Amino acid sequence: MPGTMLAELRDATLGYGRTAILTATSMRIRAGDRIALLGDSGAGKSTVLACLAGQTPTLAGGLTYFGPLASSRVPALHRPEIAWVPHEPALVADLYAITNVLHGCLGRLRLPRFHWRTYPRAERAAAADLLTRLGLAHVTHVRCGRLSRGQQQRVAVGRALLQRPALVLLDEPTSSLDPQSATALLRLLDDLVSCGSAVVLALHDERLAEVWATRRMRLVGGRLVEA
Amino acid sequence: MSVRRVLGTVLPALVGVGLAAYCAVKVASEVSPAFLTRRLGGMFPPSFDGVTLREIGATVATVLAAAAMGVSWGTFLYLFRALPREESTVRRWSAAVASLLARGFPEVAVLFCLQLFFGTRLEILLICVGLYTGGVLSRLLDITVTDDQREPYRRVRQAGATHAVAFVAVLTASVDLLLFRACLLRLDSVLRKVVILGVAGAGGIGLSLQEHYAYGDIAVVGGLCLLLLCFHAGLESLAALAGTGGHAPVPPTARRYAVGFLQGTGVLGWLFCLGRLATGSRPLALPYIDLPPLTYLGQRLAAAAMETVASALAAASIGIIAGSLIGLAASVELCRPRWLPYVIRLLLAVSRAVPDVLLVILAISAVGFGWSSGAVVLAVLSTITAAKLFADEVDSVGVSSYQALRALGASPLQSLTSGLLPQLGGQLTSIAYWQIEHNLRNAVLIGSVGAGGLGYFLVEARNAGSLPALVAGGLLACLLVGMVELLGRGAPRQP
Repeated sequence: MPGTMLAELRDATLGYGRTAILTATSMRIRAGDRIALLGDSGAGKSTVLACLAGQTPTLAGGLTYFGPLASSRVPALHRPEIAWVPHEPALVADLYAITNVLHGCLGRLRLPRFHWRTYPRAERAAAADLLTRLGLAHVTHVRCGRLSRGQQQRVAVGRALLQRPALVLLDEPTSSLDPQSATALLRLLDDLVSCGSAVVLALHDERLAEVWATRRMRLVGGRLVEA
Repeated sequence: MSVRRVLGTVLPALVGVGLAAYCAVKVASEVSPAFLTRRLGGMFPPSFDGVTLREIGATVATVLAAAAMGVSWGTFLYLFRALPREESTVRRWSAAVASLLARGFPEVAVLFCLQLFFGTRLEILLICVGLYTGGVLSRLLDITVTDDQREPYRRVRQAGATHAVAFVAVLTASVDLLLFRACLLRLDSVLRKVVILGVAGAGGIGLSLQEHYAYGDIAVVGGLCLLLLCFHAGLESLAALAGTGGHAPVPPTARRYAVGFLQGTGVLGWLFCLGRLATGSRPLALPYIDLPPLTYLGQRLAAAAMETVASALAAASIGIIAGSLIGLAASVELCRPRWLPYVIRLLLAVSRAVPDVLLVILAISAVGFGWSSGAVVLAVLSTITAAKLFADEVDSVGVSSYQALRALGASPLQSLTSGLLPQLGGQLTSIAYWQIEHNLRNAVLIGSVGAGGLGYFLVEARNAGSLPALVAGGLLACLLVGMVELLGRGAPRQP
């Protein structure tokens, strides 16, 4: 339901190992939010996303999940309700694009799958639809190792969306895309938001952030502030 | 200091120092027996004295000399085969056949053939192990040397230099690192060959091991195994220091000198051995040429070959399945807690050092004579080797796709089957073919010490003094290895 609290960072210190990158970071994410994280390269955008995804623990302060994210019994790191697409997509290069997208529904399935045909028919249809909407219908059965960087990034986004997540965290998803593909991607994210999910994007493009996001947050001098 | 460094370098080095200290004490005790009694009491079993020290020394010297000879022969085969690729098809094919013969023709068959002419002599053992090591090394170089590393050869040839000059240019430019690593790693298998060929009749520490076991002298057998283990650990340590285990590499100049030294020693070794055989005091004795009826020979050969192939395939399939599971657990990137992979790798290294002969003897005691005991031994060896290769492959491919699937909610099993295994499928196939090829060669070798198959056929042929049967058995083994290699050519990458 729009407006439901999903996650909250409160006075958190973020970083890697013992090195703090961001201090006194506070942020609330509600269902239906479209948040753009802005900042220079190395400012800490990826760090915030990794922390929200449960990939890196906070050095101090707290991260709390609410609603559908809190109800899961598995650690945040392995929750299908959180979709995290880092800058490096980590696809399986030897498998087809559609198989990589289908990996997104593994969290809902019990048994391992060895071939894309062994996935449920409904999931296959959903994956094919996602690829079409991302402008990748012509590479459905091409191995990901042969795709361009931008195409790989879109396959990774497709995989994340097939998770049907409540919280989507994307690290510069439009950086390798042409304007048309970027628009198609943002349209998909809009659909997701209208279904009650929240989306957080790390972006460099100020204009795109202004057009798309409902909230813009900027990383300046090791702190996160509302823009 | 990291756990990896301790386990990979310091620990084996300490074991090596321990071995040196032990040998020093042994020498001191031989010079002055009272020293041993006075200072160390009954620490060493009395039956250990005077039996093995000379044999151990001879074995170490044989291993080093055979490795040096193998390096020189392997380099020659590689350069002869791989480099003039664009220039002469005849040369390429002749070198390929020579390489296949060197790898596929069982060393035990070479040993028996030469023994028919020259009797039991150390030079024969050296030649057998040198030929085998060279064949494997040339294959290893063929797989690992890239086109970029062949570039100096082309440049020098284009400038109008002869093959010989161009070969030297390649050697000094790039191949030396691979050679250095390869020969250090090969020393390990050379040691195994020396021991098992010793049991097959070439003398040395292998024969000593077998005799002591037959007399029930378990303390001596254990002591010998411990010494072999120390030697193995020392070799692992050297290989790690040479940069094969992710440590700082040896400076290029030192490496170059080391390779040059090995090459020189190897060439001298060949000259020495061949010279000794040609001018030895023992006159050449023509073997008894006995050509049995072709149908009988064929039947025996077919039955023996089927036993060998069956044991090799059964062992490879067991080894691949068990080895890949252990390999996953030995992967530093994948396995938690973090110390577990190091412990598993240490155990794998220790188990690799157990002499094949001892495993054969134990298997024969448990299962009885015949190819089934060979299959058991090969299955154990295959599991150990496949586990090490698979763990290395997992670490080199990386586990980012596995972690990505885990992050999106897939279970560990799903992440393995959908994320990691598709990337390792090619390597797994490749390891499987390598393992079958390796098992075929090993099956012949351990067959000759009582595990049936082609190896036992060769022993019978030697006892009957039949050169044609020996050659036929050797060529059949060679054909089998060649067939597996041909089938495995479709595999994406060799380990």
